[in-house]
Amino acid sequence: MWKSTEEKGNRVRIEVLLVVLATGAGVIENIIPRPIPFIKPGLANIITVAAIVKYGFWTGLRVNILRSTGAALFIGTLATPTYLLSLSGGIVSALVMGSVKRVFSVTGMSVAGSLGSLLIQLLTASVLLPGLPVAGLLLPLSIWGTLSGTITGIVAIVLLRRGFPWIHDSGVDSATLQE
Amino acid sequence: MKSDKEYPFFRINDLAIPVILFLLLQSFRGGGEETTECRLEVHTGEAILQYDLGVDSIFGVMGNLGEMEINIENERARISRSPCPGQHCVRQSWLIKPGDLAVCIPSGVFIVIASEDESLSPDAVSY
Repeated sequence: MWKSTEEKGNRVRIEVLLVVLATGAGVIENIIPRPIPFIKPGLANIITVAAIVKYGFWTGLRVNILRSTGAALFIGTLATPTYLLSLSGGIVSALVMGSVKRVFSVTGMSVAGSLGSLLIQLLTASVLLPGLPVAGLLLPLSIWGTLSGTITGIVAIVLLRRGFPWIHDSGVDSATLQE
Repeated sequence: MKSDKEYPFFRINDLAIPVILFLLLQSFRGGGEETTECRLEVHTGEAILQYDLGVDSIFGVMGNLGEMEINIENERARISRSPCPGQHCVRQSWLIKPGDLAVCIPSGVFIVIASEDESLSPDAVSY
């Protein structure tokens, strides 16, 4: 729990930094062409993985919701089905990662979150676009989710081992930041 | 180093993920199909338009945001123009084999290469 006013201030500083980094990563990966629908590098997921590992599920969920909204505002997809896909993927990704955090390693947690995000986006898209050949997309999306989840998980671990997010906690250690 | 132990790259439990994934994919696995004749299906939400991939053409279809342009060339197809903000559908590469898919979520349109085995005549329009 966040206790003192100082800790609340630190929480806000840390979460703002995480949201800005994740939003920036989301905007950058939006520029990259996608060979198969719904496939993207998952750069923003690096920040979410690190946030959930270090600060807990609720911080990760807030980061994902705010970065989906921030990136959509920046790209101009707010109030479009694209935002719905991004938001649903972000929420489910955080939910899955929060659920399996103590079961898997950070890499495994990242893969599970990536797969959860891709599957819910596919499900949402199949509701928005009736007749979408979901079964045909499952294999490439699963392979990509495993691959990108592994890479983003490893990058998140490397960042965490080096002290990410590099903000002076002024008396608030990671343990007290856990929800 | 403490943090290295705190954040291991892998744990034995991680092996459960590929096992679960394999079982999931097996349950969705369909029979493989060998076919030489293909057609392009354009799903607009209101209709499924079908086009012969053997005839080079450029045509427009109406999506939620306005007209999109679809290009068939050398038995390949792609979305060549779309009014959507993201432009992911336009930047996607050519669709060349059955099952290849391009989706434009904002327009509510997707195009897919389908095999002729499904006994539908080319250039048919089904509502």
